[in-house]
Amino acid sequence: MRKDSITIQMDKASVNLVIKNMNSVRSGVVLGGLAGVDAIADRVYDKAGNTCPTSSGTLKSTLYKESEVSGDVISVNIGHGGKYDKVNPATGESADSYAVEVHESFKISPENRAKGATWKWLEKAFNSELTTAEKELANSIRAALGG
Amino acid sequence: MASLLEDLVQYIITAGLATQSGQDIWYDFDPDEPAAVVVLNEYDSRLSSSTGNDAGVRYVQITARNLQPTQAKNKAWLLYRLFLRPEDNITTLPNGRWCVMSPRQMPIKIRVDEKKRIVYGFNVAITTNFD
Repeated sequence: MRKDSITIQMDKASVNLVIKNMNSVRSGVVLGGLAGVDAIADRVYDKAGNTCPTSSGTLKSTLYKESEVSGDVISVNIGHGGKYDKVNPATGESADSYAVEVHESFKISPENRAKGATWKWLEKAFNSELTTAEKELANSIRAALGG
Repeated sequence: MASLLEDLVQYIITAGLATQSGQDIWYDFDPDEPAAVVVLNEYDSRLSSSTGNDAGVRYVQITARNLQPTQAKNKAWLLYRLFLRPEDNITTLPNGRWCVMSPRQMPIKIRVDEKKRIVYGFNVAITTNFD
């Protein structure tokens, strides 16, 4: 061995243990992230449901929340219609066909306004979580890792 | 300082996409006439965690209405491009207000009104000072 060099020897079993531990950290981060995202999404879903304008109730009844984990990516979709679409018995229209119009139009009836309904109920419910979401997610991941 | 919506109206007029507030561009009000109008509404806001106590993120809907579907759509896209700025790029509006503008989606068809006029629009998140 040369005098000006350093030799580092790594025990294979130790390396495997580090890899195993890192993998458990990774799954812990995903699990903690999923728990955090789900908690936030639950509140968005509840707020959206409570502030969605109603007439026949069809549109509100198509509100859904779906979570998905694909590799390291966690996603939650909250919306109306799609595969949960229904036909409004009062008009014969599907909720899909008028959901955007209702969501994006600020002319809410006085009756709905009095009940706390609002236009853009999905977006407002989501926005209301943004300020604290990052901290809540970090706390959830920390808890999953035993911190 | 004027309100954010007044400042944005001037921004749009200066860009040549409308001519006069209260004629072909409105805010907080959706006039029955004329058929061809641009309308701005501020619908939500939240405090920004990164820009200090006197600024926040404000959400504005921008719509373009016209009897001709292609004209409504084209106007919405021209407005969208005006508000589409590189992320974290500060834009200074004509009256001096600073803001960071981030459209939340591309223009979509919102509705056909009772007079068969087509409305296209999009939403934009704007980080800026309070009014």
